[in-house]
Amino acid sequence: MLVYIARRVLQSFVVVAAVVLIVFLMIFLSGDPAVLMLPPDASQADIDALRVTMGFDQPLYVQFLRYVGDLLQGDLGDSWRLQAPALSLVLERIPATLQLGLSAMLIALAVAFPVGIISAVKSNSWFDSGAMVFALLGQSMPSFWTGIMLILIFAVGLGWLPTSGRTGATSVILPAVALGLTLAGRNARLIRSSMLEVLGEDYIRTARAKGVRERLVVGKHALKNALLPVVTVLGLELGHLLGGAVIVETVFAWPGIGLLAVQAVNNRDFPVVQAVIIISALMFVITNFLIDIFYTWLDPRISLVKP
Amino acid sequence: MSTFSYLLKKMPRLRLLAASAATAATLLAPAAANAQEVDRVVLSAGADMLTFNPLDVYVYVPDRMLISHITDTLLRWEAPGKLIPWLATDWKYIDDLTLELKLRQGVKFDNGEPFNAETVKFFYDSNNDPNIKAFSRTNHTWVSHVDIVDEYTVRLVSKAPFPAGPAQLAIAYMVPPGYIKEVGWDGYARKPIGTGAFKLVEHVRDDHITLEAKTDWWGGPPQIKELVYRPIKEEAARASAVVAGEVDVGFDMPPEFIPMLQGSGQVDVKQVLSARTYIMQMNTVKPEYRLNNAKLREAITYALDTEALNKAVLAGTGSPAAFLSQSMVGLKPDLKPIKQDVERSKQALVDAGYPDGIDLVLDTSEGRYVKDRELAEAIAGQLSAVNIRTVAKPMEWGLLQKKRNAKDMDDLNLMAWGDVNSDPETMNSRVLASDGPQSLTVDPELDALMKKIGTTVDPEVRNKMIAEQQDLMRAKNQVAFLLHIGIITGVSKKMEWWNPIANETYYFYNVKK
Repeated sequence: MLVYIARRVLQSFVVVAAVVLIVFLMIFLSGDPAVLMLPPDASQADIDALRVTMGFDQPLYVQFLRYVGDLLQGDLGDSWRLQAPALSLVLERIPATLQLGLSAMLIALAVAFPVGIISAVKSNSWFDSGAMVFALLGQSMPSFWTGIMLILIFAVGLGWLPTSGRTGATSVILPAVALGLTLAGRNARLIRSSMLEVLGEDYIRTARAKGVRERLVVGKHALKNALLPVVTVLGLELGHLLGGAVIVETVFAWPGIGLLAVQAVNNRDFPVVQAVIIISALMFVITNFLIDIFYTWLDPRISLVKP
Repeated sequence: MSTFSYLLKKMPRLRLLAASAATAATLLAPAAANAQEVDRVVLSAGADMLTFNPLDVYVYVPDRMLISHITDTLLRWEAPGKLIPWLATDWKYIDDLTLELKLRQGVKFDNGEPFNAETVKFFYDSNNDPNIKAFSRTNHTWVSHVDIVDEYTVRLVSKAPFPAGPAQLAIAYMVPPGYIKEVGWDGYARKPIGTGAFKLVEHVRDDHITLEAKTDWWGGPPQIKELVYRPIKEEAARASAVVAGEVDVGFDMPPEFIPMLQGSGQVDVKQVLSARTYIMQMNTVKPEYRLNNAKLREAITYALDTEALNKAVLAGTGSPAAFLSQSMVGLKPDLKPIKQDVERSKQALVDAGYPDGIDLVLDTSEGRYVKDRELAEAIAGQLSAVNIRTVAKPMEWGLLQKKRNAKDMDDLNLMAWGDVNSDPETMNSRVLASDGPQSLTVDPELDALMKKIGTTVDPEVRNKMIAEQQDLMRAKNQVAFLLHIGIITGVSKKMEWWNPIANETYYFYNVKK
């Protein structure tokens, strides 16, 4: 088990290091940062002066080494626009991102699990057909469209909820539903197909033959074994959510990491873009590391298997 | 009818049904909780505030708009082209290089510091200090130094005549020297104070900014007690917030949302032509470039139907442009937008030596200006119809800038230029001059004329030269002036007294009810 964990930690470190390198290099492909930071009427002298002030005149490898050195000390640089450390700008967005991401996941699971399980148990029934149509619709509708329709119906039309912003306890409902519907559709279908596969196994037939109650057959024996692929996907989805749901945050003006990333890209605020990507990658890696550990509880055989 | 309009038309019945249900469902916030108080105004545009630092600021909405409520400028625009006294009560050129200002007395900053000649000197000295980060430095570098005559009289001295100087005073936001020495410019940017009608209460990034009125402001207590700004990037969400009554003034509404806003019955759509104009540049940077052929430029200019472009692309919210802006100093009153003349265009193309037509590429940004990509594609279509086979090449703004800096632009480039000062100076020096950072034009005759315009202080003499420039450009078509861009705002009926203004210098105080 310790070897398994150590292996996962090393892999996570390699992933984060690769992200740091790629992020650093990608930024410089979008144009001269000194030019992009200044208004269009800036003179060449201003551009040259800024290049020196910001260190852009140094060779690329020097800039990278300096960047990594600062990173290891927890310094992700200062925002070029917002007069604050890039890291603090990202960290102050995390509560909003967590609130939205976890709410969306909660909605998704609350819908996907009962729908997926019942569809599998009552496969080829009316419920199953209807549920899968719902799941396909949920998966097909783009979240920005769903979001705008929810705003028009529930905020503008009915006046029940705020249109946008993080203005109170109810303001998370619409964006979480917009995000959660897509996840619910996808996970309901996955849970259904995984359950169907497990319910067809010999040990399930044996359990039924022994007279085990159906609730225990489904809830204990089948579900736990069906969870492996589902947990994999949920881990990836949760990682993405915690990195910021860019589209939904933009539609609902939700002040999370995703919206910060969009603003930073528009403003060519490179330190903030880099900080967002690195923190998002870290959250993704940590989430999936925890999922990997969770696997070993679901299936203890996993930690004993050599790569 | 759009989906949005259809849904809203159906909403009243749904609303009635829901109201009955809502009396029992008290857990959900009822519609009344979103109503705006009379003395509170909520504004919204697409981006959050970047900075409160006047040396760094260059975005008009929301940055300059909100800064101008916290602190004051030396002069102020009452209307495009009309400057009025503000913190400077009087101004005059005492020679070609020196602009003397008389300053308003008895004005204090929020921390008690007085506004006086030292304040003005501090501002310009800071702007000219290369160790201080100032992204909008170029707006104020025309002042090489400030001489203090007495406590309320200063002289702004420039190295060369700069007739557009007074206009630049309308964006010279005064800051307290003592406070800045204490907290630094970054500290000021986080917690600004000023002489303005409002003070900053809080700024929650990407969520809201709240300003509170000052009852002891030198200009009299503002009409509005609380001003709130909410950045809502997505246009549909912003329009929805205006319709739902959560926002009182929604800026930068795209034309396709006009039916939705008007259809609600709660919102007025107020439009005005902005100071920003679409211009199509023609690349003559190198002598061998084909666009150096004046007849070819004529063929391109007269192939365009700007009325149709306005109708099809901007939904009629813009206006064909004769020159830079309708409020520009020296604008010839008889100068009309060029009307499409297909026969003239075709003949000019033949005279240019291209009887079989020509293939051109039109660069454009994507998403930088309203409908920029769509406009470029429409222009390419109009040109292709007269055998000037044009391909529009939209690209992300950063890449376009990279291309420009590498002097690698294609034959044509679509851009928009703002004239908030009602003066051609910045267009001339940045977009038209051979050494301008945004220019694709090399024309020594135009350069010489623009240089004289830029250094002549006498307004009568200068206006005559500006008229000459219009004639010269109409004869040689160095660029094609296309469309003035419209500003579309969704305004709550409770704000019926407020109107947008072309140069986007918006104020929410000192308004007569």
